[in-house]
Amino acid sequence: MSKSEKKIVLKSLDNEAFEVEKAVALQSQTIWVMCEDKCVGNEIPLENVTGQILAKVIDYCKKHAVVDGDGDESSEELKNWDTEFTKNMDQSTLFNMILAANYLNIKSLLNLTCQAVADKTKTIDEFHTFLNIENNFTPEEEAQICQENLWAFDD
Amino acid sequence: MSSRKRQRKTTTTKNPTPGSNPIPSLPNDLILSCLARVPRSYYPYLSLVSKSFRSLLASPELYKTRSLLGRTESCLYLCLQFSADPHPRFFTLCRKPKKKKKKKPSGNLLALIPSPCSRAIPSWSCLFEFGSFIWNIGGSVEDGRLHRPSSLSVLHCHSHTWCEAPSMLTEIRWLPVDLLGKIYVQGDDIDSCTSIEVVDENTQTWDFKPRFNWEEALGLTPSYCWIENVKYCYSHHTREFKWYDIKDEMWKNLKGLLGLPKFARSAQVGLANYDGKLTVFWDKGSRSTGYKKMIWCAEISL
Repeated sequence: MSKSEKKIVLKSLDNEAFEVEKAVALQSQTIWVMCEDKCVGNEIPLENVTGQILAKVIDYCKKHAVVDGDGDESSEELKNWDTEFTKNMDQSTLFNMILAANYLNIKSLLNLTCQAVADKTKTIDEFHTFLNIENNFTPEEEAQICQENLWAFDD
Repeated sequence: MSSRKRQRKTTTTKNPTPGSNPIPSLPNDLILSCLARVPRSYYPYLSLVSKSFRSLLASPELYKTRSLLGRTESCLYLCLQFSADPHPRFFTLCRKPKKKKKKKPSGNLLALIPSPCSRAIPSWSCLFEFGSFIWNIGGSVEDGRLHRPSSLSVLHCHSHTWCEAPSMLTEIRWLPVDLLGKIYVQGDDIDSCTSIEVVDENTQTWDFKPRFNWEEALGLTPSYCWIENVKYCYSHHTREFKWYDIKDEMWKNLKGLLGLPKFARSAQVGLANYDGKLTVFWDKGSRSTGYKKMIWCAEISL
């Protein structure tokens, strides 16, 4: 296999090009199908992902392509790397990562990012901001639900 | 100085609002995928987020997603009956909503299941859990005999809705018992081989069962539960917790219980298996609470 066949170019929505190892890119089922199905050449256009997000997705895939298949210690290291990876992501990046992981069909990345949202959102206010939704209960409705639902245990 | 302070405050609150990076909205299936990873005990509290969120939390899709992800978890249910109301009420243990300034919700609450059990509780009633269903089997006592349950209803724990269960085949003589995840009831004719009925968990139908060691089943009290094939009970008579030793075929005292108060003789005590831990509920009324009943709960790691 020549050197050029091992590499693949991923082009983002905003025309940013990333040259990556094929083994790294093929963790995405979507890219895998694209490579199998049609002769797109060496350049694959990804119309739903911006360059900023694609760079992060590639970071993730690179890390996972390298460590996969190694011993236990490295899987622990990989877990720590994953935690660090999502730890300081802001909400917008995290959501875009979820959408990208979903579009590119990278199961492990989708799991990781959805888990990060679940871990970061535990209160009503966090859900309002995180999911960008408004509380559309009237104060009366809210009070009624509280009344119906909550039965104080103790204090 | 105060104006500078205010200015700084305004800039920090403005940071996350739209401008640089608008937040994309997620389609419902991806929101479900996130929600399925949140512990279930948060759900009653999170139903206050918005109207659509509330229906999402009660949707069968959420539970499908949870089981696909292997995120099934135990949920503790408590059935209480109040003297003025013949309809029992069911509660689940959930997270306490946080106070505005606190970071995370703390402590537990009992949340009422919105759909009430439509059937009034007859003079006797037993509850059994089967996977994600709770069976409520009740009947009447006349002339000192139990009669075929007039009400058999099933609570679906995902949707929190009640439905009718198929009724039993014959009149029954004793209260139903739960043996290792199957409900057994003994029919009217004690000597007959076909007097025991058992309900099949999957098909939810009743069938006759050949005889089995009925003696063991009768050794139970209303306050019992199974944890990993061991039966535990609370004896109101001796006010002690016991477990059934299958090898020696006898009840033995549970040792090493620390920090648990001695319950009043009149206390109602309920036991449950909650994630492999023995959970004890008991009530307590005193002059200081104006004789209002307080419900207490403790978890015992085994």
